[in-house]
Order: sequence, then C-alpha cells, then structure tokens
Amino acid sequence: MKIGEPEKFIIDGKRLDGRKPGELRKVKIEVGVLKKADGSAYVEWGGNKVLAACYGPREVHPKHLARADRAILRCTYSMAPFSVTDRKRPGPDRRSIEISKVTRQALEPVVFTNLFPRTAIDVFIEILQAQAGTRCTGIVAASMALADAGIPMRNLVPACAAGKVGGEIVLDLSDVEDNFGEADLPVAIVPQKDEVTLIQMDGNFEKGEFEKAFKLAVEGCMKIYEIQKEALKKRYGGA
Amino acid sequence: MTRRMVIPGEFITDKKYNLGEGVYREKDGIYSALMGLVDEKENYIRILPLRGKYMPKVGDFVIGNVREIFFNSWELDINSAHNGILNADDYYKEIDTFNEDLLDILAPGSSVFVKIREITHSKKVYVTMRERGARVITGGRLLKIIPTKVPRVIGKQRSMISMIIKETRCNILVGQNGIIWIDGKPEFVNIASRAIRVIEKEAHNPGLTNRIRNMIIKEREEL
Amino acid sequence: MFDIVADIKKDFIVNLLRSKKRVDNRAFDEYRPIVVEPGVSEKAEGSSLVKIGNTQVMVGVKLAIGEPFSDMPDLGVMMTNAELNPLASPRFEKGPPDEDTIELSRVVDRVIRESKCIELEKLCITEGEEVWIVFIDAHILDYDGNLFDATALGAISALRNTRFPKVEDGRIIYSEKTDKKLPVVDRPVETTFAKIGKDIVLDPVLDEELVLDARITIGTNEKGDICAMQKGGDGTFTQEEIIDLVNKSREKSEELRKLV
Repeated sequence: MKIGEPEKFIIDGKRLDGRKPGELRKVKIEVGVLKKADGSAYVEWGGNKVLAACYGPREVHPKHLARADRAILRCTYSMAPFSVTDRKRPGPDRRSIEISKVTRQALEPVVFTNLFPRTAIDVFIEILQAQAGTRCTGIVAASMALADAGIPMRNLVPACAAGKVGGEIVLDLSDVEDNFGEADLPVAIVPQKDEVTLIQMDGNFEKGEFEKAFKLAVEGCMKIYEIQKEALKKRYGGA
Repeated sequence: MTRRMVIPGEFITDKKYNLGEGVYREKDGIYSALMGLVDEKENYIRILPLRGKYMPKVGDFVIGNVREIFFNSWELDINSAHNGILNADDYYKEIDTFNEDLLDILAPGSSVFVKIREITHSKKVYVTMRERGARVITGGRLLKIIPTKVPRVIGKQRSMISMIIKETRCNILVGQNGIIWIDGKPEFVNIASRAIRVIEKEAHNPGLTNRIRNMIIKEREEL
Repeated sequence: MFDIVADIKKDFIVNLLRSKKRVDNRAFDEYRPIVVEPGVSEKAEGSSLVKIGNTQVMVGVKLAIGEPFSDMPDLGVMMTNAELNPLASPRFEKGPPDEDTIELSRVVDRVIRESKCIELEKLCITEGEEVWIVFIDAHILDYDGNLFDATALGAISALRNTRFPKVEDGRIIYSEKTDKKLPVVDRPVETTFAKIGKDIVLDPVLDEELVLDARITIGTNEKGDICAMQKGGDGTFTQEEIIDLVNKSREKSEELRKLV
C-alpha cells in the first residue's frame, strides 16, 4: 500500500467525498472572462480551476506552418507552477506536450478549419489549480473558448473521465481516487453524433469493465454538455 | 423582432434553405456552427454571430496600424485573420519609391483609414487610400470593439453614429474591423467612447439611439 | 514535413480499402511479418530488435542505481524514452523531441508501467535511499509505420532478457553481468488500428498512417485486461468501433505475445 492510500474507496455505496459512483463533482463554467482574448472560458470542476483563451483566426507565425486550404489549430496545455502541491517547474514537460496534442485532436474534428485558409487558431489552456482530471477540464474550457471566440464549429466538445477504484467503476475520479485507483479513462465526444474524439486509458480493466466504464464516461460527457450549453446561453442569451 | 439565439451544434430547422454564414447541413436538417442569432429569410438562413473576428470584405473601410515596412509596401494589422497590404501605389499621393523611404511617410505604429480593394485567392488583403474618405489618422483616440457590433454602432442609415458625432462634436471614423477613431475635445472624446462601449454591451436592446442620446446630453451637462 | 503524395494517395488508399484491399495486399486484421531478435546488444543489460514489415526498432535496457521517488520509497523506478532517429526517415529531424516522439515514449511507457510487468518492489535496495532504475530506450531505425506496436514489443522483449550487472561495494560493474534476471512477470503488448475513411485496419504501414483519420492503440496484458489506450489523429471513432477494437485487440495481442 502506498502512502496516503485509503483502505476503502466506497463505503455504503458512497465515495470518500460523498458522491455516488455515477456522480460528477461540481462543475461551473463561465465564458467571456478575459478581455484581450478573442474568446475565453473559466471552468471549475471539483478542485480544478482552469482558464482557456482562444486567439484567432489570425496570421500564422512562423509563416511556413500556414496551410493553403485551412486554418491550423494549435493547443497549448500548461500547468501553473503553483497549481499542484509540489511546485511544478514552469514550461512544457513531456506530459503537457502529450496533453496538448490529444487536446488538439479532441477539438479538431468539430472546428471548420476549412473556412479560414492560411490562418492559425490558437487555444491556450492554463491549469491554475489541479485536482485530478485537468485534461478533461482543459478540453471543456478550450471548447467553450472556441465557441466564445465565434469560431465556427460543428458542436461543443464535452469531456469526462470514468475509472476504477476498489474494484468499482466510477465517474469522474477525485484526486485520491486518481492517485490510488486502478484505472482512469478520459473520453471526449461530439454529442448526439456518436463520435469519440479523445480516448486514453491507463490502469487495468478486466473484460466487461472497460465497456461499463466507457459508457459511464460518455454519460458523464453528456451531463457536462448540458452545463456547457447553459453557460453560453446564460452569458449571451439576453440577445 | 426577437431572433432566436443558438449555439454551435444546436438544431435549427428541418426546412429547406440555402445556407448562409454560420450554418451547416446534416441528414436531419440545418444546425448552427456559431453562437449567434438566427436570421431566416424566405429561402435563406444564416447566423448573425455574437462574437467573432472581423473577416475582410472588399469595399469595407477599416482602420489599420502599420506593422512592417517593405521596399514598396506597408503591412497593416487590421484586427483580422489576415494582415492588410498597402502598396506605395495605393497611397493617397504619388510616391517615388527610389528616392523616398516609406518609413518617412508612414512609420510603424501609424494608423490609417483605408478601403479593402482586393482579396486574392491566397488571402492576401490589399487595401487602398485612393478612395474618398481614406486618410492618415493622427491624434485622437482609438477604441477596439467586438467587430460584430459595428453595424449597431453605425445604426440604420448611419443614424447612431451621426447622432453621436452631432452630440459630442467629435470626429469619428468607424472601421468595419471594430477599430474606431474618435477625435475632439478630450472630455467629449471620453463621452463618445463611453457611449460606444454602452452600445457594444447592449447592442441587442431596442430603442438604443434615444437612450444613448439622453446619456450623452446628461454627461455633457455634468461637465 | 513534406507529404507531396499524400492527397492523391488518400483517394487511392480510401478507394482501395472500399474494395477490401490494402496497399500491401494484407487482410484488414493482419500484421505484417514480425521478427523479434532479443539480445542484440552486449553493452546493454537487455535489448531487442523488432521488425514489423520494414519498420525497425531497437530497444536497449540499461540499469542504474539511484534514489526512489519520495512518494514511493520502496519501489524501483522505470523510464521510457524513444528517439526518432533522423537516419530512419526523411521525416525525422534532429533536435529536441517533438510531440509525436513524446507521445510514442509515453504510450509505450504506459503499457509497461500499468501492466505492472516489472516487479518494482523487488528493485528496492534500501528503502527511501537506493533502488534500481530501469531505463528503456527505443531507437527507431527504419520508419514504415506503426511505431507503437513495434516499440512496445521491443520494450517487453528487451526487459525479458535483461540481467542485472555485478555490484561490488555499492558500485555497478557493467562489464560483468550476473545470471539474475530483471523480475518481469507479464508480457504486455500494444496493438494499433487506423481508421481511414470508413474502414479500419490493423498495423498501418506508413502510406496508411499518412492518410489516416484516426488511430487507436490498445495495450493488454497476458490475462487480456486492458492496461493502456491512446486515440490519435484528427478524426473520430464511434463508440461501437472502440468496443469492437478493444475485443479485436485482445485477440491480436496473442499473436504478438507468442513472439516474446
């Protein structure tokens, strides 16, 4: 057993933070929170606090990266040094670079990049406070920042993870569950379209468990999607 | 008339329409690609976006800022996806590029009110000053607003902007790219700026022209 | 990156797949010929050369003694690194690793780590002070697609023939190996599928990789449990496709496992 590992993850059908197995942490989304950016969003998801800004379409620098037939989408996931218990060294590490890549690929399928040849659409995701599930929080924030910037897109992209703790399949891992659980499965989808734009997994799922967790993660995405829609309507719905 | 507000991915209608900006078709009907208001015409549907970058259109007047200088052209930031190019030939008067340095004519940071003359297939945006109204801008103050709100600031038949100019006695140029230049007595420039900010924020509310006029008059009296 | 041929090729490959054929005539769920040669390096504590078709990856394992992580004081440490060597393809350039290289390293690391195939608790020398560190280094020598499966296979193959060097007075004598093997108790592997248009194929060659819409790599252990997964590419999978591919991966993994 590792240091800080709880004996049991689920007691009387409740998780350590009081949630039911299929329950999300509290999620709050706000758009249009930054002045300079073309679009922005702030997401609080459990203890995660994440800011995303979208700039573009704009001129591509360096110029050779420009594509004659479409815009290039660039995503940067970055963790603030103070976002975690032990200070994180500033600048991109291997984990951030991988997350930046899968985030871009999670969003690319919905963005009409073909409408803006020779431009760049840049999305910057800053993790201000991390508490398990930052990549999903980042994708949710990034997708909202794109919508807020008026970038044409097929749909918003919700993301949510499911996992396994103490042998049980649960939705949206907390930090203790993430650190000591047996599996983590982040998923992003295009709602109503049966398209999975991100799926990653680490840990151990036995036969049957994977399917159950996957379905649960997709259900979680749909719950997040409702919160995303509401946030946009709330901010701009007065029109 | 209140228009329906939609967000990306929202189903709009299963009726047949020609598609305009911000909508796309799926098997079961037409969906929105943007956050904005649905504009339905007889056989045509589009979204009036609530947010978004200015997309250059030939014929638009925009305010640009000199970023780079080349042998016979200037590159302008026009607050858009693409920079604008002002060739020496498009300057409002003749330039002898062999004997004159463009740097001495328009230095980096200079602002100009220009018309978009041509957008090439490869998205090069050429602007010109050989047009009535085009000019070099000096003095005054520049304001940046959300480009999608520009039509509201101008108003029907320029009603809004004419009123602001009249009531504040300021010189105002509105670029379609969301950059607005205001020049006049400093306290009046401030009033005009505040008025424009209010329009930007409440663009969707009806009866705005009168409210803005009253606001300007009241602020003028308080000076 | 230059993909002069990619656009024309895409139509060609998509049409080919629609008529149930692949560029190299393989079945959609068929691997290219695979060769695994363990122990190709005498200097490394463990090594393996893996060829999947024309793709070649060499993996070396080096062992060192170092400090454990503070939150896991009684566990050995493992690290995986991949290098996309410029000699392997005109597409690879010198310089710091790009996102593709990093993704490869991390996805291979994931299956080795999460399968718990290395008994890290047996690599503890003095709790909180000294543990064995396992460095897994993969060199891509020739790149003709599907680096994930080749590198993961090379890694587990190299780990399984890794032997400890001699240690005298706390110092490692690398020139002398002992008979003691690295405690490796599982044989995790990864299988990668590419979705091109509407079709999904196993073990994409480079031509297929260049035009793919989406990619998924699935890692399994001997029991058939899923240990790692990574979707790539700018396109999407349906839920049914993913569930189907997970099952297919279990089946196909057995073919790879026989080779190590």
